[in-house]
Amino acid sequence: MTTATATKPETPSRPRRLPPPKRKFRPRTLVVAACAWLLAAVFLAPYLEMIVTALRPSDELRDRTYLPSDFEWMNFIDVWKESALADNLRVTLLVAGGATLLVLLVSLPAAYYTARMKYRGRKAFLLLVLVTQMFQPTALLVGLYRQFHQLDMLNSVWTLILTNAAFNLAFAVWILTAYIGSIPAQLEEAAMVDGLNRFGAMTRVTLPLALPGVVTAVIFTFITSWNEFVMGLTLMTEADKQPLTVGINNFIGNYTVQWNYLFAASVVAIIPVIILFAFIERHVVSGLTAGSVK
Amino acid sequence: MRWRRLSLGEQLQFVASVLVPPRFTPERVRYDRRYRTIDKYRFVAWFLLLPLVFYAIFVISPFLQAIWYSFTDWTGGATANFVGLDNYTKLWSDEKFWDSLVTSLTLLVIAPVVTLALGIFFAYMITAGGRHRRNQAISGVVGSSFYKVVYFFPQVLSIAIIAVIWQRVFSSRSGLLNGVLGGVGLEGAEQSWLGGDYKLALGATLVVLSWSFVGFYVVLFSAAMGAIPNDIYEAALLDGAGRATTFFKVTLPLIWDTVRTGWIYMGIQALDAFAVTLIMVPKHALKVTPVYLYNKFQEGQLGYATAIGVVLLVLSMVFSLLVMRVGRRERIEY
Repeated sequence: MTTATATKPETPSRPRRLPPPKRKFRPRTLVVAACAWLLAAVFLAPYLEMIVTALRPSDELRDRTYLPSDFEWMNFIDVWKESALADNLRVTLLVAGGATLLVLLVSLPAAYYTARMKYRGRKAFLLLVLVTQMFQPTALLVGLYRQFHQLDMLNSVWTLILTNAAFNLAFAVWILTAYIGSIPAQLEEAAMVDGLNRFGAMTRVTLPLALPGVVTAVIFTFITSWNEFVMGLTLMTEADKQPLTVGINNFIGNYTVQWNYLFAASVVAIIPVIILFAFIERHVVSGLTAGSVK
Repeated sequence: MRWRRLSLGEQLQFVASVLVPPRFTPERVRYDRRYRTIDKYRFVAWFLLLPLVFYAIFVISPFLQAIWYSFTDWTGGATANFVGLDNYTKLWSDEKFWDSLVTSLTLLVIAPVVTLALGIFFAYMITAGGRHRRNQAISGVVGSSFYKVVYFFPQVLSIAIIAVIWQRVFSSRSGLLNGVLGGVGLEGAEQSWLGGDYKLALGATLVVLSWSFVGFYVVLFSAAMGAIPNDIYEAALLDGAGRATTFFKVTLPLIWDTVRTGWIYMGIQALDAFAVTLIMVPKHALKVTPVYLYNKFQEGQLGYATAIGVVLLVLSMVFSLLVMRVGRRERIEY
């Protein structure tokens, strides 16, 4: 014991660590930090403005003081009672939920197949997915209107579910293909040797491993459908069948804007999004990389 | 040998067997050799057909219909007469259309440059902007994940909500912007931002577009920058490269592919700019082509509106191809 401890200092050791150099005060650091905070403030101020205005009493809307004299929580109750907000919320929930489910059902098999099989036209399929991603909904607006006019489906919730699903399909297929492609196929082969069939191997081995990708695709689709505006504006003409985003827009009258109600409704509309975003915030980066760069 | 010709019923059974599990397929079909080919494609049929059908109905079909109806005088009723290129010749001499197109093209040129430049700058600060630390060639600024979330957040908001928020910020009497300007003693700089002046409205639109989309590119570019191996930075550091040189000689060339993709996406977003301008900007101040299309749509000139839509689609295609071509560089593998 003692000899062991005695020999220890003898072993050639690295040169003794110097104490960390004292940080020199650099004015540049301060300036950079100040700029960064200012920038963050520019990015955050609009949200603050939204929340403050949502709580502003109606008679103080045109005041220049930044904070209202007191917070009017009744705005939320008033807007709920007096506008079609409840209906709009119901429509949006149905649309976002339905579209997400549909996207998952359709994109998962397609992504699985594209990731696992080398079939003819695989590249063409992925290219098709990418190119359609580039169509602007506004340019397709009249074509879609015509389509649903023919099917007599204007003002039906299904219309929005189907269009939202169609527009989000590309992104989901793209991300899921990348995600599933990164899971080694050998795992599935092993499972199949052990007696699972192809379908079982897919559902019991690959899908659980691809779950983060699936969750990302699901939440992304949900958020995008929740936020969709153009289709809701053109394909739904009755106020109580319009989604939330269009309903909010209805607060802007020709001459006056009821800012407090408008923003109270907006706050209601973005709370679910914030909650969902908190879940995938971590995955967003990996998801985007998987889908884009290589 | 020749195969026995199939009766219509059998043919139908064959076709149906593509979509039916083998268990439910009649033996007569299942034991036929031709069934093997079908068996091979069942997987494809289920897994790829569905998305393709979906796509055909909701993306490809409206697209083709849009092209067809741009050659008609359809007004929303039952009849649509073929009128040849009438809509397009009318567009050619439509003063208001050209005005809107100039605005849209301005946005198409400026918005991607501004947004991508900001996005690259922020992303570089986040991944490589920090002070040099021991054992690390590069490091991000303090609190980089916080900044990432702050920048990205507008991306998850509805563009409709973004537009109303900024309308309030820009409003002349009680808006935040004028309030801040007045607060720091710059009363002279206060403006009626969205009051009708074209340049101010264009600037406001650009600000909102950049504000709402920059986060996406920050995340995209910082992911691309994160994929660059650290050794390359170390080598550059050893060779005495400063931060700016490192950026222009190392980072930018290595993420160029991503930048090009981002450029195309942002260009298309800027060419659209529909919700932002429709909600935020008063009609008399500024009008972009998609809003003009929407107005024609509301007026019931649906054939004419589709013609505008086709022009927009062609424009975005041309833009994408152009960026692909111009931005082509030798791909660097690392």
